[in-house]
Amino acid sequence: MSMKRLSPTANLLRTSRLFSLPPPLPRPSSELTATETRDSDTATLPYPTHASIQTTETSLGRGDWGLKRPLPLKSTTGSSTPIIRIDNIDSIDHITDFNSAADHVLTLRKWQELDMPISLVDKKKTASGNSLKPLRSVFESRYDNTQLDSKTPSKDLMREPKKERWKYKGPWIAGQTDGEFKAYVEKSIKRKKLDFREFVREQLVTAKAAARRREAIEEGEDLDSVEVTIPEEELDSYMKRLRNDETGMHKLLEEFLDLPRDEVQASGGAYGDYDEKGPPTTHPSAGLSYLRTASRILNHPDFGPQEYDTLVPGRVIAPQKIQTRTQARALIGVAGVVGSDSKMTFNKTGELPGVANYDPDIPGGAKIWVRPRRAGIDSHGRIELLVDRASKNAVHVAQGLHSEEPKLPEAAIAAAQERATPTLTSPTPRTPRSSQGYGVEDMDVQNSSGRAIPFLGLNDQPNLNDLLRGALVGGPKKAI
Amino acid sequence: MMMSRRLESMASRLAEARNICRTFSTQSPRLQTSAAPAPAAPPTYYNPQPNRKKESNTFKFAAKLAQAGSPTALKRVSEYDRMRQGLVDVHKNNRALGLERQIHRKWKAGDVYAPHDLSPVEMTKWRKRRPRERDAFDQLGINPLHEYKNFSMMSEYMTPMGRIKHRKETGLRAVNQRKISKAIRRAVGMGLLPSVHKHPEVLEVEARERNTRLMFGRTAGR
Repeated sequence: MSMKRLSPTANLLRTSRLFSLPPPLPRPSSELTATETRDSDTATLPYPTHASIQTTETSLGRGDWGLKRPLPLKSTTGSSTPIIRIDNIDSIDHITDFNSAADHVLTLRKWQELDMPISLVDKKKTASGNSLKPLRSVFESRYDNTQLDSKTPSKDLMREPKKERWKYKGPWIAGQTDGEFKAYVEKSIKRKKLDFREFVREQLVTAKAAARRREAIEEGEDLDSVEVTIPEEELDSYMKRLRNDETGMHKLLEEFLDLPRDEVQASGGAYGDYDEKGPPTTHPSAGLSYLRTASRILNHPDFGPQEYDTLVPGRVIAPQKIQTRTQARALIGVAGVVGSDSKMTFNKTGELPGVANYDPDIPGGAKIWVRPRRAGIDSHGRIELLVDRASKNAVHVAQGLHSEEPKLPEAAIAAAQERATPTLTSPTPRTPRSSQGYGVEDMDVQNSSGRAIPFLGLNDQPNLNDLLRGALVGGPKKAI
Repeated sequence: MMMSRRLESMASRLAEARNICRTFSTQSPRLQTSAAPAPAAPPTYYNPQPNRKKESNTFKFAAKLAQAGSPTALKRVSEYDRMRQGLVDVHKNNRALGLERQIHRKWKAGDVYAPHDLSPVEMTKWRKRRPRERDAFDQLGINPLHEYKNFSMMSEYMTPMGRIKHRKETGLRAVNQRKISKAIRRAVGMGLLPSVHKHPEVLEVEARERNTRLMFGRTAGR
């Protein structure tokens, strides 16, 4: 094929990583605030900006990543996820600057384990954040805008709702600050003044030609003889009239500058989808999932078909209330993505520890069982995820428990007694029992929060300290 | 009773929490080194409604003791246990407060995290204030020189002692920094602005805000 015809150097370049790496996306911009921002430059970004690359195992051993120079083995072979992103393919110091891309790669893998379809983000929401419309997949043919087909006959286009375009040449003016708008006018619009005049002339010509044609048809004249020319004076007066015609001018400008526009609004819709956050920056699926629906039923081996899908473990990233701030919804991380809890009520602290308030005694932070309800990609390319807390019965099903009260295996209790894991918090200063003079409790066992708490996973709901105490008081003593 | 009534008012509750923090702060070296906390706990921290589950355990525990020993011992033990329960809750609260104060990152829905994002190193980075990245005047399309009469805007670019702030604090680009300093000097020269402190009206507003915060807690008025 053409590969053979090319020179060896050209072939080499064609197949090299150097040319196949796409340029990175711009970093998500920081918020526009009057106060100082707090930010970390090493924090994981809400979406990946660089391509992640991987190499075969044998090439990895040689440090061969298909780049200009081999990468150091010490920092690439030790990792369990040898996937990197290239920050600078050849820096001024003759170094290939690279970083681990495991964060986004693993997040994607975890996300795909959820089997979550991506649905269109519904801009109209109730106060509680519930969507008014049923979920619509982004891949449904009537909303899928990956490819805008110009060949579609206009009849169908009129009937079908117009697909949202997601790439425009012009900026989103509603989202610009005054300064940015001024700069945009100064730098790019002023120069196009003459072009705009020509554009308006063309529009006028087509409009006039259509009118003349209609006239010609009505009067039975020859269509070929219809020729329209616009004299300069007529164009001048038309442009002056345009200044007072806001809607007409707006339409022309939108088309000329290719500004992001809301098709719904343009066709007379009252509510604009782009009003708040602007046009989408990416395809509404963002490539996270290609599933079209979540309508499937979990068939449990013991309990049969279940109403809801499999539960997933979630981490409470931010409880509803901490000392410094209170928020309506707790933020719950699922598969490495921070989603919001669908429940807004502050429930009793006893119900789910660590969700309404911060609980320092849960090693590694609070975790709960959740069920992701819907996911979408918003205009800024961030994932919008809503999760439901799981009901008690669903949790029991997920844990494979048949009875209401989960029981810890004896071996786990024994192991927990022997193991002392470090906790995040400093232990409560403990009074030696001997100094109290009561001597009623076992000297060897530290009680309650004074003790380093053994690791409690999601499956270990009961309070181990209670269990420990019960076991020590009631049952025969074990060698500790 | 008195205690519970007192707890009803929000302000006093906050003050209470702060006091507790100070005395029992986990960071306090006094408490870290000494093995024994005050054995006689202040009766105010006594929790009259301990966890039910715990109580039942206590009961079992005490009942066992009652079989073995005297009823006075049983009474003493249960009293002690209840007192300890109250103490534990206070300690837990303090530890929670101490750790909450170290949560600097304001997570938002849609953030993506990897394990290192949950590490203390990363949290320390979120604590630091970063200099403003964008030039405020460029963003707003304002020429600072035209604003020399706007004393609240001028005060924003002055220190409390009336000195013009450095570029690394204001985050302005060089052109706008020169313009704002010229505007401040002009305002001072015209007698519109004091040269050794901020404008009195700005000071008054700041003082009022500070008072509100002190009275109603740190998030008030925001």
